[in-house]
Amino acid sequence: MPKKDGQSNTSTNNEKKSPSLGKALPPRNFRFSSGDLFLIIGIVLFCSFLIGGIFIYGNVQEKRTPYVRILSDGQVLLYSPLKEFQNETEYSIETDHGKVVVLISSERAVIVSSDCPDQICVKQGELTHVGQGAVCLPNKVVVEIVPGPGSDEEQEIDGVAR
Amino acid sequence: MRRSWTAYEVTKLSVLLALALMLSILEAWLVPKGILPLPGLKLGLANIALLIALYSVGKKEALLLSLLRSLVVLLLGGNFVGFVFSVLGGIFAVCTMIFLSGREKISIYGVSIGGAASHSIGQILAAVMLSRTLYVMMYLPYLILLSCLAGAMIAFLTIPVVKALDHIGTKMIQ
Repeated sequence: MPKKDGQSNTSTNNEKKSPSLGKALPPRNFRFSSGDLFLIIGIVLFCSFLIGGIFIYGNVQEKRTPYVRILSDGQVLLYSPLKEFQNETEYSIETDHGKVVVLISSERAVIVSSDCPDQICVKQGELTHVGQGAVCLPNKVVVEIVPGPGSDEEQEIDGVAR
Repeated sequence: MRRSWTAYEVTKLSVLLALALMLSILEAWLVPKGILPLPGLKLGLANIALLIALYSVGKKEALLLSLLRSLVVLLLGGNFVGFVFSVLGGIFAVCTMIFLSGREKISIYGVSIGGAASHSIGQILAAVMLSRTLYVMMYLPYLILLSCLAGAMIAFLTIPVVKALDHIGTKMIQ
């Protein structure tokens, strides 16, 4: 009878048997065991590697000129350096779903309003650093700050040459 | 060869489908949108029904239940984007749970946590496919870690139900 589990972790066959009509159902392991611990350690390690990777990637990208990029349904609508937006510029993007309004200035890009129910993209707030982004899934619009094609150093060399 | 389903199993599966839908509605009601720290993060109460199906009906039936749930949610007025998310997340989660549940050393907690983690991976994949940018990948580690907590809680809630169903099942066979 599987109602009451034994005290020990090494359960007997009797306890593991599940009352199915001759069908193999998972063993009745209801106690947190070593296997679970290993699984969790594995997941946590995987996540820490991922977080570390993203962090390092972000640091490398940080050194490059920030470009603002707007994608709508996977297509690039805008890709230009943030520095060029000396005056505040407003973009409104029409999609099948509704309208998304993006405000860009030399320092930041921000989604001001959007016709989506959850408003997650608006809540993302101001995007100032490379790697930041705001995604509106219902509208399929992505606004992100991406690294430019060249690094700052290269541009400085250009400046000297000029 | 596939053995035909008994009336008991079909009934259990239908009740579980209804339960899954009810729990989705209950969750939307209990946890208002935007209160959780990450977009896309959910408690996953409906996974209780999935876990019960896996443990007391069968593996294939659990996969079927997950697909049926996504389909019914779509028919009940969900949108297509949500459908893609839920199908991909569901398939990932159930396949992982089926794999883990066959292991002797892993308890129902591990099964649920593994399912929750791979559900997040499936959802992020759907987000990458739909938004066509890798940017959403940034969420992945945090989403996985938080969903593990939810997974453990779901397992805790499921255990008494599976025990009770086992008890009923034993009685019915005798």
